[in-house]
Amino acid sequence: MAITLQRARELFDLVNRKLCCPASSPSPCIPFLYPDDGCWGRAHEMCRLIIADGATPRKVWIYGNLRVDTANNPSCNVRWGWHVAPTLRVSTGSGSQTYVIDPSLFDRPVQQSTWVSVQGDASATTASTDASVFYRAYNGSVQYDPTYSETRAVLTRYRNILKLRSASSNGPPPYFNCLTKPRGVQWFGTIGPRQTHRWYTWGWPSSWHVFWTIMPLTQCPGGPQLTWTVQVERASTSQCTYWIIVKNLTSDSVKFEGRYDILKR
Amino acid sequence: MDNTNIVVDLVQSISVPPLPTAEKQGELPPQLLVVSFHRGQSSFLDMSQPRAAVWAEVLDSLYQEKQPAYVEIDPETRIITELLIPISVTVGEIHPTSEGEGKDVEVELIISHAKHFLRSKHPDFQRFLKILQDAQRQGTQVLVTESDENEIIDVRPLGETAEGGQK
Repeated sequence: MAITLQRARELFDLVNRKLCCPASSPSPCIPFLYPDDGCWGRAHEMCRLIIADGATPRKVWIYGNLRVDTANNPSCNVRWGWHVAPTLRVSTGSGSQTYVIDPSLFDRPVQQSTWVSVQGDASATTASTDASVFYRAYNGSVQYDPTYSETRAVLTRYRNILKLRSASSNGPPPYFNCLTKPRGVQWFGTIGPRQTHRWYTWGWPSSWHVFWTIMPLTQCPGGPQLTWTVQVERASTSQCTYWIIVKNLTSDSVKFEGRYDILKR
Repeated sequence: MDNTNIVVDLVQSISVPPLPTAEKQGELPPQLLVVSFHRGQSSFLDMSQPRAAVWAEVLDSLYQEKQPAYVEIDPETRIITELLIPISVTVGEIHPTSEGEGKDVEVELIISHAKHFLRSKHPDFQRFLKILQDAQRQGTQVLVTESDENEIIDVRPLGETAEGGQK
């Protein structure tokens, strides 16, 4: 039965709230920030959550020479032989369409055609199954996991691998080399667990009214991650230096961007 | 090639060393955990290192789940210098890849949707390739460990988990 797009968004949010903080990754979170591998476990767990919320998902499987750009891998892309995610039928004005729930790739439900198009292989093939299929090989053979024991094992494995990556010199995702600094962002920074660190930025006209915001880039739902204070130094008659002290409130490293808004010139 | 010892095995225990022993040895860093493996190897986790808290959590998780760990151990100090997680898989297609150097191969591991590469520059390329080909032919499982770049750095038949090695 088709659902509204609003209901699909609610179900997307339902599963996305289970996202693992990269370094702590407590069970039973879902390691969406490790897109490299483990999609079949993530998809099965998402289907379990969606079914428990009263909806009827299916799964879409894609096979090909897949390559997806992502800021959540230090190489800025991941390469797959196949991929799977839950789907929902969504009512449209003239009928219904298949939407995909895939927080490893998107921040909202997307039409299946969009989901296929970002995976970098125009000749990729897709197949649809019901939600109970745990693994579908390219030749169509399937495996089931009705007790979710395999699902739990897969999620545990990739939670741990995400932790190890986040504790390595690469740090937690996202990776700055994969990001373009947007207008209004002065710098990207990383701050370690429970650390306080001070950054400074000089040469700002003292006649401007500048407002600073520190925004975490590392996703970790469940509580505040960062706090900051701004100090200012009048460096000359016309210029000032801002000193921005960032405090990490969590036990995970956090990447962030330092944003500015010029309220008055 | 260095002399790092490699252990791929189940974690038997994680414990704090007896204090007198640590004091007697003197040269050991003060914050150590002893990580023992199923087939008798033991090593230290230096908790003063930035990654050690996460490694301790992951090793404990592997212990709880009865899953193997891949560790590289400094042969002199017995301190763990790398921790990775092997995956237990069967082997699908093995074919040459046009990317990379020489005779690199792409290996399909089941179940895994990532692409996996065995690089011909790896010193154990031929040995690993034979293990993969044998497992493919026989339909048996192997334990495969990869770097963070999805490059295969260790392969061994399942059940042969405690082999020491050199890298």
